[in-house]
Amino acid sequence: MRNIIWLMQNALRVIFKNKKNVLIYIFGPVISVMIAVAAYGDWTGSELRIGVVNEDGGYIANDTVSFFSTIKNVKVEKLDQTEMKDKIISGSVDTVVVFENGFTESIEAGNPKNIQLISIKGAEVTAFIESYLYQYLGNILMISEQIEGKDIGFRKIYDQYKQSSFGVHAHSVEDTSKHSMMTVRTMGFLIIIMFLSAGTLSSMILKEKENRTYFRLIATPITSKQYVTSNTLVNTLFMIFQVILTIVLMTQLFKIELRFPIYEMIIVMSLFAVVTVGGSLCIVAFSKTSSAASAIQNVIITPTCMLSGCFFPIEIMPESVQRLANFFPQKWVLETVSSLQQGAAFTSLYMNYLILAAFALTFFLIAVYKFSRRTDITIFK
Amino acid sequence: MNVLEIKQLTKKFNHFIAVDGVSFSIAEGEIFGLLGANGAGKSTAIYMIAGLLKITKGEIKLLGKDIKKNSKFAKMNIGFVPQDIAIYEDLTAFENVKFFAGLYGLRGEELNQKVTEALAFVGLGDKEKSYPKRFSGGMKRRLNIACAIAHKPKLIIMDEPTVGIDPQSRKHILESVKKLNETGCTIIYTSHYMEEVEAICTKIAIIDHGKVIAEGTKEQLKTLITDTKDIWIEVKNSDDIDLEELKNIKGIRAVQLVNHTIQIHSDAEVNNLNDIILHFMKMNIEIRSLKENAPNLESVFLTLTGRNLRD
Repeated sequence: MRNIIWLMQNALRVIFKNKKNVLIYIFGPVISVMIAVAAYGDWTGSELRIGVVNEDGGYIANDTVSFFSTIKNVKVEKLDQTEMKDKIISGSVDTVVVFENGFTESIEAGNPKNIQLISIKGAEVTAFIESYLYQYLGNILMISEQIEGKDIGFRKIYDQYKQSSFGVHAHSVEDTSKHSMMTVRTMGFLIIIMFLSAGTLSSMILKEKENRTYFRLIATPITSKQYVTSNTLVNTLFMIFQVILTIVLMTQLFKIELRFPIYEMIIVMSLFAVVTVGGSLCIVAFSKTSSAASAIQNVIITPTCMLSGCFFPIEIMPESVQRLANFFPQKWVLETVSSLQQGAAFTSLYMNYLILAAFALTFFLIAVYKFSRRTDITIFK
Repeated sequence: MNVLEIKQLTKKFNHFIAVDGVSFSIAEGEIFGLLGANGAGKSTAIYMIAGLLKITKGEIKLLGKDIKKNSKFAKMNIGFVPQDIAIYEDLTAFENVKFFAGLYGLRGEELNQKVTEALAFVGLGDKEKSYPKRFSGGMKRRLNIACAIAHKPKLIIMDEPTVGIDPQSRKHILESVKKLNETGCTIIYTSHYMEEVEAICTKIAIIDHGKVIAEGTKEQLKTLITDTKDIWIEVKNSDDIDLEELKNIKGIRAVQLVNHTIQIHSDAEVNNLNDIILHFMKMNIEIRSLKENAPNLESVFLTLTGRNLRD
């Protein structure tokens, strides 16, 4: 243990003596938050933009559109089918609610249909609009339930309901969806930065082989296992540091609300930090040179992050691709963060933690196996 | 007392035998030169002694203890100076030596003192706070040595420590090796420079095709080739010389051209000087000087292995 600590101290000294490293490891998290804010920002307004395509034109559809307008910090824009897609793709609206023909009649009949909620920004946005929409329509549906079988007009009761003093008072959905989206996106970018940082740190093993210091190190009383262990611990420390720095920046500087305890986020992301270290070790174990490791890293990290929803919500991808994402740890950590935001209890997500732990364990076992199989002097004993 | 005893040391890489049943011993206080051309097996043997390679067969005993069973003890008592400069460019000279010495368990004031001593020993006492990236090749080599000696090992292995450096740094390193030896260190020294080995080593082993083919002091080795002589002929213009044709002259074993001097290695009992001179006259090559040398390590090596050390 004494030697491992000595090796760790030296590794930290070597890392911090190089200003470029400091920039990468400290500014990486800053950049991840900045990218998320820049890409999904409009931060000062914190306004949710809802596009409405009202093909139905019935009184309930019209009133529902008016209801959206009463919600604080929600801006409603009326659209037609042709411009809807462009508006969503360009990001000028966060979500579009489509009232198709027959919507009003379906509500009157107590069987709501012909309504669609479309978004490429995922559950972070749609979940809140859905909840308000369900609440609003739920009240109206209760009218149809009450008059069922009675000879009283729906419209009459509905009008009375509208006039009543307990009419709908809009609650602001303001930041919640935006905060959730920003959090997940920031974590998405952080995941990429973490993978890159972990890869760089693990590649130190290969670089030290290339500049022959590794060769000299194992001529001293330390073993190659102690050496790899020290690298792994330093790597993990850095990843956890990046996690904490990002979360602090996100919540304290950029005022993005997590909507669940900060320590839960740190625990989840720290677990993922171990996965990134394991993954990077695996890449190193399969690489003969640091440039080969870097190339493998680029080939693996960017596509898997993309498919797992680090850059944009996974919901916009085809179902088959979404299923493929189950094989990537990034998907599971992002899903965990989303679930915690949507109110899931920390302990209820134990299966997600087990899956992440299984990824980490698998990566480490593969790396250990691969390291132990190398016999040439220039690699590992 | 023997510091190192090697018996039937063998290393196989799949079907290739790099070291084939090598045996030798090194007494305390010796500077032991290990000579061999590239691929002869000397580096492999050294790596096994330093604990960098697993032994396929055989036994290495350091200070009477089997290094396989006492790996940590062996590494604690060995200082390894690798052929490649293995230092951290981003750490100062002091930090470099301190880090490597710390791996041998040294800490605190004792560590700092030994680091200072090691740097002073290699002539870098005034460069403690300097970064190696600003060092010359020779200074880096000296720092490379300081990193291996700070913990005061009993046996120091130096694998070609003077490769690619200026004559002044080489001289400094050779003097350092002698000084280390005077302090009681036993040294294994490998080099491509025969004159270095001849100048500092007290005992030499020649290794070829994985086997030790000769071992002893340089005087003992020279007695092995009393049946040969070396003739050095300096010519005005060496462009037109056909070395292969020269080898056809009776008694000549090997020929090499160094600058404008043709070094001929020949059987001692064959009187072929007239034939050699006649050959040069026929080729219309002007001879500037001619001398017959006593056998040196170079000729011993050439005779025993059939090739030059730098082949």
